[in-house]
Parts: sequence; structure tokens; C-alpha cells
Amino acid sequence: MLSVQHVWKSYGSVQAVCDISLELSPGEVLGLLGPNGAGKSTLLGLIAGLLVPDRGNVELPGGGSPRDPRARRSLGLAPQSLSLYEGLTARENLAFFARLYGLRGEQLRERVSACLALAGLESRRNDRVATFSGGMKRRLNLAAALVHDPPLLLLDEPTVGVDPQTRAHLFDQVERLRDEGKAIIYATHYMEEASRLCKRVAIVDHGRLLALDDVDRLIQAYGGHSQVTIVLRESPPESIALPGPWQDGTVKWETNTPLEDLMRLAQSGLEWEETTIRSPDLETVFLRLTGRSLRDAGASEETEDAREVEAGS
Amino acid sequence: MTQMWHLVPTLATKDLRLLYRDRVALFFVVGVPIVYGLFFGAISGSFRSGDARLKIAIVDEDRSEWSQRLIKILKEEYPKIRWRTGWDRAKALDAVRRGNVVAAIVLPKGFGDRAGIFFQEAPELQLAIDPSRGAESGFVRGILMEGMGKLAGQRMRDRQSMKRSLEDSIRAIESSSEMSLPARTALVAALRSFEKFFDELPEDAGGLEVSKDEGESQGPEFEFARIETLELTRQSKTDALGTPLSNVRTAWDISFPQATIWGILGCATTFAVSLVRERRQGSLVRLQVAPIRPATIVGGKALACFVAVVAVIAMMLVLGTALGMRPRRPELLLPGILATAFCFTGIMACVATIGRSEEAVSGAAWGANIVMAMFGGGMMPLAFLPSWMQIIGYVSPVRWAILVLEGAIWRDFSWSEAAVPLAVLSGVGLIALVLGSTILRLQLSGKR
Ligand SMILES: Nc1ncnc2c1ncn2[C@@H]1O[C@H](COP(=O)(O)OP(=O)(O)O)[C@@H](O)[C@H]1O
Ligand SMILES: [Mg+2]
Repeated sequence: MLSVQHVWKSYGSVQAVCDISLELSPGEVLGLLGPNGAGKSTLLGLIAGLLVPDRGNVELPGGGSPRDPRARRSLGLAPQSLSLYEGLTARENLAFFARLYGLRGEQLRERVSACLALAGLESRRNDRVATFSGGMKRRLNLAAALVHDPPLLLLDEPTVGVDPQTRAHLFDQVERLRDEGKAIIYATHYMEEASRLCKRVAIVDHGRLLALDDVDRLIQAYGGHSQVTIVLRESPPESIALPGPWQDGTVKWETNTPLEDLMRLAQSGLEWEETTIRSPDLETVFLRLTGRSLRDAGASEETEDAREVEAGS
Repeated sequence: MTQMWHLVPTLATKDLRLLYRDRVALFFVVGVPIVYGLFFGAISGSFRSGDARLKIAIVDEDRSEWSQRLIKILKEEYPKIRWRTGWDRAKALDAVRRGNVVAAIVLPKGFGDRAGIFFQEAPELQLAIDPSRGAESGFVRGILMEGMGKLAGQRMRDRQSMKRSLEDSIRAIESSSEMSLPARTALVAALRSFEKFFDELPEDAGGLEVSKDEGESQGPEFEFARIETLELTRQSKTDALGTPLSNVRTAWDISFPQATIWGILGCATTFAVSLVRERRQGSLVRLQVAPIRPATIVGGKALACFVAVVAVIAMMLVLGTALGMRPRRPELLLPGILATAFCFTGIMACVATIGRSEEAVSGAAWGANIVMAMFGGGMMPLAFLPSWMQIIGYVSPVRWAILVLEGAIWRDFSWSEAAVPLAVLSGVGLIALVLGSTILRLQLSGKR
């Protein structure tokens, strides 16, 4: 239904999106995973028609281009930065956005109440958004993208700056929407969110699509081995063959069979204090693909999050 | 197109609701013009009443003892009148024409020879009265008669002068060729007996008591003075644009159009800033993603601005009318309001394009507003603006907006006089709206 074909977008000398293609079908959550500045928001902007691609083509569900106002009816965008009228109440915000999509009368009232319920804001529906907490605004920001019940949802870092309860609430909503048959692109720099919510993940960095596949297959292909670490305070006896070098009181090695390795060591009589097994995940995949860890690459993101929380409160 | 008819009002309603809830913006749009209009109306109103003393000029062409005495009597009897003396005839009459004094009293040559002497022909006084001050005319005649009565009383007590006058009279009669001899003889005899009467009059005998209303109830049998009225046409005092200032009926006539401008500028700036605020607060993204055209977004802002400007002007007119302002040409108000609202809506669209931050836009807008207002009559009324500022003001839409409002309220514009400001406002509005909305549409459609 959504089809993105070889789109490019640059801001002056910054190449924000390079030759990205992807397809999305109903009932699917596609993770768009990449550090801050990877080009996720730019890609969503191209899909939503906020930006014009330098090259390439986007086809929305229904077949239209996002530059065509009518075709945009099929998509809902929850922007990364809060996009609400602080001077209006929750209900007024939703009703206003619904009217922009041509909803009127009973239909409008129904959709607005459904979205207020979805955001868990029924009791605060007549309060101005200016009086809301960051988490409440985030939920309303998502609800405003759903008010016209679009088949395609673009969620740009919907959990930035929210408390754990709101995060869990948002996850539930995304899963429910997916089960209702919506096609969802979920942009995030949190590996955990992508692996929890998405079957398929697109990994982007510096505007490039580095990989696009099921999470399992990405890990299989790029995740490599599990990493095992045991803490061994005393020098191990010479007789025991260690799977890795003994350094600073620990032994570290990579393997596809972590449990068998540990079993063998125990049988050989080695005693140790702690065991850590790190199975490969999207983080490892990202590390493999870029040579950097997702966390390091997105280090500056944390300060941005902090700002977001402040601005939202 | 059908979509726009629903969406533009939807967008505009949202903006007006936001304005209504924004205390600070509401203060600029509603509070400032009301306070401004009331304040300046009230202070210029009090200037007028402070200046309400009647001003009368006296021209003494006789320069005699008796002409000076009359002036002294009038000044003493009516200290509340501001007497202007020392002017010549031309200057005094001009002052009446211009409305600077209510009346000019001229004491012509020979006044002193006859004034206050019963047997002489009553002295001729000349009086010029501002025709627009009919109510004061009777009063001025009255005080003049009273002054002349007092002068006569003084003169009667002044035996020497009386005797000398009598002798002058007798001599004049004796030498008159127009009277028959018996008549002359009879008159001279009568005068001689009067002469005797004055001789016998005790020193302290009071003069004539002249009642206050003597001037007006002046019987035909006796006149203290024959007053010749000098016909004058009132050359009305006009303002810098040639409108008679006498058209101004209340101070609100001037202060309200001026104050309204500040509300209009507040509206235009508020909506220009609100477009930038939508960008900052991200709501613009939702408008851009919604199935509406950039032109519709601009149209929504424009409609909201237009409605707000119309509402502000209407509010000020209603308030002014409640205070006693009575527009002379009410039929000019509607086209004036619409053209003004259209003009400033266009300006709003242009102002919205000049910056990306609220601070930049509101800073630039208020800078421009102050300059436009200063030269356009928003600070000092157009009526009193020096001519060089008037000339610069031609390029300020504020000038034309004030002019069209004043044209309807007190300048008493004809349709053809109103056509100029109406055309300027509509033309500027059209150009600004096309220019501003074109740039905004490009900015909104992501073709940065
Ligand atoms: N309006 C813009 N003008 C110039 N550069 C931009 C603009 N928006 C984004 N960029 C740049 O494009 C790159 C991609 O940004 P973005 O799409 O926001 O990344 P992400 O959403 O993944 O954090 C970054 O280098 C960013 O600095
Ligand atoms: Mg982003």
C-alpha cells in the first residue's frame, strides 16, 4: 500500500535521505531505527508531503502522491515535536483537526470521543492543552494523528520524553492499531522499542538505508555471536582451556553455543562468580553495520530528550 | 473550491478562538485602542473647555479719553471676558473671520465727541460678530449697551465735559443751515436750560442707573449708541487637510479613529505572529499534512484577521457613538471598514513572511507599525500633523485608514473625496495580499 521508491533529499550540503526505498502493507509496524540525525524525520516528512523529494517517488495508500491534498487523507502523522494548540482544549484540538479532514456532526463527535479515550484523556477533555503534562500532550499528539482514522500512520519518536506508564500505554495503542490493520511506520532511536513493536525494521544512518528485514533475520545476518563474560578473580589453573583470554579478572568470548561452553567449563572444574550472556540484538546489528553503537551515535539525542521534556512540561 | 468554503472558516474560527483566549494579544487588540481613545479624547476634551472664555476684540480708532473710558468700563464690568485691545480694525475683523474672537467692537474716530451725550446723535459703534456664534450676539450687544450707559452716566457727572458738550451742541445748532431759525432758537433755548440744570446739579448726585438688560430692552425713544453691524462671513478654521475644524463635534471624533488604528495594527501583528507561532509550536505541520492546500491555510489566517479588524473598528465606533460621537456620513463607514480590514489583512500576510521566529516578526512588525502610525496620524492626529510629515504619511496605510474613518465621522467626505482613501486601501490590500500569500504558499508547500 505505501511505496517509497529511491527518494533523495538534501538540505544544502547535508544529504538527509539518500536513495531510500521501502514498502509497507496493512497490519504491519515497520521500525525506522537510527540515531539522531539519521534522516528518520526527513523520510517521514517526504512520505507525508511536508517535503518534496529531490529525486524519487512516494505513493500513498490509494495510489496518490503526498503532494496531492486528497491523497494525504489516507495518512496520519504524529510529529516528533508536539503539534497542538496549547490555547485549545483536548477536545477542541481533536475536533479542529477532524474538521480539516471533512468530518462533521455525529461522525466527528464519535471520532473525537474515540480518540480521547485512546489517549486516556476523557476526564481532561475540556482542559486546555497548556495545562497538560508532557506525557498527556504526547498521547494527545498521537490521538490527533488518528482522528480521521487513516490507514497509514507515521509515528515519529512517539515516546520521547514520556514517563514509563505513558510509554507502556503508547505501546499498547500501537499494537492495537496494528491489529486493527493499520500500516504503521514507527521511527525511533530506541532499539528496545523497535524490537518489541516491529516485525520488520529499517536501519538508517546518515540518510542511508543500511538494512531492511525482519528483526530475527537481521540479527541472524548481522548480529554475530552471543557474547559471554564470566568473572574469575583468581588466575585459572593451567590445565583448563579457557575459551578466551583472562584479563582484569574476567574472561570474555563470543560463541554461538553459550550454554554448552559454560557447561563444559563447569565440568572441567572451573569456578567463577558471575556470568553475563549477551545475545545479539539490534544494537549489535547496528554496531556491525556502522562500526558505532546506537547509543553512542545517538548520544546527543539524550540532551534533546531532556529539552523535549522541559518544553513539554 | 467547495472544500475551501468549509475549511477557511474552520481555520479562521480556530484562530479567533485562540485570540480570544490569549489575554496579552487581546489587550493589544481591544484594550489598547479603548484606553488610547478614551485617554486622548478626555485630555483634548478638557483642553477645549479650559479655553471656553469669550474673547472680544476692541479697536480704538478714536483714541480719546472717552473711548479709553469705555474700554476701562467694559474690562472692569466683565473681567471674565478676554478683551483683546490694541489691534487695528483689519486684524480684529480677521480674528472674527477666523473664529479666534467672538466679536470685534470698533470705536470709530469721533466716538468720544458724542458718546454718552444725550443731545447728540448717538455715537456710531461698529460691531462685527462671528455669525456662527448667534447665541453670543445678543449678549455682546447687551454688554456694549450697558457699557455705553455707564459711560453716559460718567459723562453726565462730568459737568465740565457736559457743559462743553452742550456748548459744542449749541454752537453746532446755531450754525446749522439745515434747521429753520425758529427750530434752532427753540433747541438752543432748551439746551441752555439744560446747561443751567447741570450747573445746579449737586456734586454727589448719582448718574444714570443702567439696568443689566438695558441693552436689549433698549426702547426706541433713547439709544446710548447706534450700533452698526459689520457683516462678516466666517472663514472657518481648517485643519492641515482643509476640513473646517468646526466640523469636529466632540473630542472623540479625533481620538477614536486614531485609537482604532492601534487595534487594527494589533490585529495584523497578532495574526502575522500567530502564523509563525504555528510553525514553532508544530501545529502548522498538521495543517500542512492535512488534505488542504497552502492557499487555504493562508485564507484561514486572512479571514480571521479580516474579521478581527472589522470587529475592532465596529467596537470602537459603537463605543464612540455611546460617548456622543455622531458620524456625519455613516454610509461611508461600511466601505471604509471593509477597505481598511482588507488592506491590513494584506499587510498581515506580508509581515508573516518576514521572519521565522515570533520575536523577529513581532519586533519587525511593531517597528513598522510605529513608523506607519507616526507619519500616518496614529500618534499625532492627522489634523495637526506638520506638512512634511503629512507628505511622508502618504505612503502609510495608517493615514488612509484614519482618513476614511475621519471622512465618515467628521470630515464629511463626499463619495468622491472618500474614493481616494478607499482606492488606496483596497489597492495596497490587494497587492500586499497577493504578494504575501504567494510567498507564504511557497513557504508552506515545503519548497524552501
Ligand atoms: N530544516 C532543516 N534544514 C537543514 N538541515 C536539516 C533540516 N532538518 C534536518 N536537517 C538535517 O538533516 C539530517 C537528518 O535530520 P532528521 O531527519 O531530523 O533526523 P532524525 O529524525 O533521524 O533525527 C540531520 O543532519 C539534520 O541536521
Ligand atoms: Mg527526528
